[in-house]
Amino acid sequence: MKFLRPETLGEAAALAREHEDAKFISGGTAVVLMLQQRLIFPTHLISLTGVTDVPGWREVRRTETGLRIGGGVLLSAVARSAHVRELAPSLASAAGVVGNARIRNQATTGGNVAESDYASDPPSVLVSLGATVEVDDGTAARIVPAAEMFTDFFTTDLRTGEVVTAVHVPAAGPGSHASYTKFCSRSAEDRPCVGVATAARLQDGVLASLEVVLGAVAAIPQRWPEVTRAALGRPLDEQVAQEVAEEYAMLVDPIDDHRGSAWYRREMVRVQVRRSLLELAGDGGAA
Amino acid sequence: MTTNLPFAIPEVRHEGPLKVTGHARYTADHALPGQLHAACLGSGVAHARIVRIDTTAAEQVPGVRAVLTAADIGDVRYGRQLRDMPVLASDRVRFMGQRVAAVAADTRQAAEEAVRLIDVEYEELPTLLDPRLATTPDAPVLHPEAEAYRLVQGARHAPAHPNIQGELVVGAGAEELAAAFGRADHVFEHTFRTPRQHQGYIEPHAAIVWFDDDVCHVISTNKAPFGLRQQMAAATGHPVDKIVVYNKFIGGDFGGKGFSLDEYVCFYLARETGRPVRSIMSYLEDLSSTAPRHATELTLRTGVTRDGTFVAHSAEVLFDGGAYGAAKANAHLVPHGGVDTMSAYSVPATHHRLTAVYTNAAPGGHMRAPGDVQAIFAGESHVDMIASELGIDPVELRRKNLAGGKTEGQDPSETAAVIDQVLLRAADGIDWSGVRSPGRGVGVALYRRKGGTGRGGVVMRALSPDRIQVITGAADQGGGTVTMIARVAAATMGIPERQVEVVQQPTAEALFDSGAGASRVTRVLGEATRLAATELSRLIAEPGAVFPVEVAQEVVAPADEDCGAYGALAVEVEVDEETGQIRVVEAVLAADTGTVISPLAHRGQLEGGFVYGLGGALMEELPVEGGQIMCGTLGDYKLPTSPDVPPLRIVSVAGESGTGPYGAKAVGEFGNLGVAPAIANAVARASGVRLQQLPLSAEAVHARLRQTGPESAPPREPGG
Repeated sequence: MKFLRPETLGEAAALAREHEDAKFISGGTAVVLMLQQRLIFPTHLISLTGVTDVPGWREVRRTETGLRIGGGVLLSAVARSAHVRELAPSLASAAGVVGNARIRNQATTGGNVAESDYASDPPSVLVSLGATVEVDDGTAARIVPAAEMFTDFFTTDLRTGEVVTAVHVPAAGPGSHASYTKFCSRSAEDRPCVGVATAARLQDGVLASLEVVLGAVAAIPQRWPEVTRAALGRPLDEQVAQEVAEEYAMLVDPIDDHRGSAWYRREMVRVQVRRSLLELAGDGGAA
Repeated sequence: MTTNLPFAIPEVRHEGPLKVTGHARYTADHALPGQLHAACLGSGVAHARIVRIDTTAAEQVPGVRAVLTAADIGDVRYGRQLRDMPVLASDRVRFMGQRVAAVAADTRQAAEEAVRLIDVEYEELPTLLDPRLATTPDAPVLHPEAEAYRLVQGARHAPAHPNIQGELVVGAGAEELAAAFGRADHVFEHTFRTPRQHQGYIEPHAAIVWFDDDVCHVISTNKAPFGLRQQMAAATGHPVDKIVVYNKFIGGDFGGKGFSLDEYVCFYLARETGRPVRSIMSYLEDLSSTAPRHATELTLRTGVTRDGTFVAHSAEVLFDGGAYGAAKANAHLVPHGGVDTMSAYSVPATHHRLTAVYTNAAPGGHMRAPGDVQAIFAGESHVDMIASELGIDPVELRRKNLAGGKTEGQDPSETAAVIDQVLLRAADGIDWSGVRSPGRGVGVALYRRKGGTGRGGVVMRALSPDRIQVITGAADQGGGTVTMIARVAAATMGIPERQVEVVQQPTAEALFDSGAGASRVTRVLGEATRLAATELSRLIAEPGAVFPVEVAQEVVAPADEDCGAYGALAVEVEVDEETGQIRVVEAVLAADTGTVISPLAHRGQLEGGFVYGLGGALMEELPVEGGQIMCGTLGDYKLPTSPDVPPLRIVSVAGESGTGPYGAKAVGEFGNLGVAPAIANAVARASGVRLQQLPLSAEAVHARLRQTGPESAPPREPGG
């Protein structure tokens, strides 16, 4: 296995196209684990840490519409960023509960998206906030909605040579509230059994928009817009929370793993969606 | 003997500076000139006949120096007592991960690449995964050749069924037991299950072996260097006095480092290549092919009179022994602690049958208080269930039945008074009778842990009156052996601790030592040091003493030595009635652990033991499906971390003196024992849910709260 250190995005992409079994590596928290567990056998590792020509690679910037978080920004920096905490607090929360401090100080935003780990915290939040992902293969860039980025277990819409250069998150407008709930079934330091990302906008005391996205229950983040749409125009109260939770629990087709059986996950979707929405309601009442 | 002991001053670890500066060299830190790297092929099936092994492609990999199978080395069997484990499987594999071939190469990558290219053809055999079916007529016989198996020492008592690894039956005869149960007003019977668990040490198993003429040198993670030497000699036929083991620093053990695998393949690879060979396990190998705690099923039966007096007790304890008995260190080949189901109580007639059976899973081994953990979870849950059915307060029911507490016509013994104090201090500490909000409850567990047994010795040498050396063959797995020895030596001689140097020597130099296990180190090596230091003081005080002055001292603590420590753990828990999550709010451990030699290590053992028990109670489980271990990393196999740990208060109760130096007792396998039953009992009182199997997972609690008996969430069963 060879370790390559390109200095430009174009070079990195070219190397990825040249070597069939190559893997990009950034913070390495995902790739190294997979290597250690002998799950992948790449011939080449292409490091992105030496790439210098991606603008804002390690920066969180405010834009006209919200935030641009560079692909190389550490999850710990996302969690701490004043901009993220102000404009996308639920993303800051999710980034702040990934793994542990050692992981967050190493793992990057781009890597987190590119891994498409079903049990990672940020993906469901990105989907709930309507985030978009900027990808670039050194010759052409394109924008992919987060909701379309994650396609299967550890699989994304990324094409060979494409790197996640940034994540764009629209700023929360007035009356907006969002939350991320990480429900762990074993140790407090674990991947979630169920993750719930919510985002709502209240206008004149009723819901003008509502997103509820589940993480860690299936291959990719799960949402049912027809369910959340039915809540629009109603106040965010116990009854709405209960209805959405029941519908989500009915519609979800959960997986089985160490952190819970499919049966338990469905049960916890019902509990955690309701609790998340009620928490949001409490939050919204004060706004 | 000094009357004013300096043990109250917190210790400074002698080996601490080496560890915190990174200078302590663990096994995997050693690299010898010309060293080769080993990798092994593990079986991908749980039970099969090996039809053919093709190593041709593996031998062609550049850098590969040797590829060995049983065809090259023969059917070599090893074990801590029972020699039933092949170094490399010959005709048959019996668990997934069992070693079939070994490679030595210039690099680890080349060795692993070669392993991937070894082609094995298997003819699969019916598997035996449920220990309860091991002795049924249809069960496949895993070891048709079992009669030929040998113990490292002595002959083997032939078992009643070829699938039985080991058996231990103790207590009253059938007639006496039946008569005792006949005196009961109520008989309660409950069955409990505990899962396979992994020791969770951080340093993986590793070894380096090399030959110097006909002397075989070994550096390894094994915590019992003399035992390893003897086991290697028994297996390989290499003379025991031509094997030298150098073990010194071990990065965590918890019972898992008494059993070795790497040393044997390295032995043959080193002999084949004439070069040093190093093996370092991946954590996947550690989780899947070393020796976890036995999954256990226990059925307890207790006869009780109307007023709550225990009159008879019996326990059937079935251990899932896995594919080999090799990892067990006693000749009965069962985890002995299984007899401790009622260890803190006086019961006139008791009977225990402990059985370990073969199954197609990784060999069962030793883990912090082997057998005791299972027995005390079952026993202390059982006592609370009896209390609940009789309508007696759990603390009162325990007080009524304390060991030594009710010999007819006599006052309660001193022992009973101590146990009573231990129990009451824990109960008071948690405010047992206090009013609690809904969802909260308290629980208690009471137990006795036996003291250390075994043999060991030290050589003490005075180079001058103020320069003392203690030579030991003990490996320090983190428990603080070196520091303990220094403190006992200094206190006994009445000299400053800095004048004592503890020198860890290989097996060729030091006196025999049984190893860091069975809670023996302080009892045996501490006492040997005290005796040696007493004698050395006398000798150097003699007029005309000529330096260096040397004293050798051995100590044997017999297996039946009557010395134990009592503990009571009380906890308060909160149960989330919607999710089933258990939060331990607070815990109090009361204990009579005798004289404390190293206060920080003592506290560390009790606190660490508690956290260890917390993991076993709430989250740790090494599930096996179809013979496959379902946890490949410590991300899947979850250990508790700091946020999981509640405030723990430790209350010392002055009790009977221990048999260790200055009345010290063993605490290494003590703090973890009461945690699971105390939490299970508290959960029952908080939520009404009584769980009879570990771990006490949120899902298991939730399933019972919902009473749905969901098909998609069946309770996991041992071997299932």
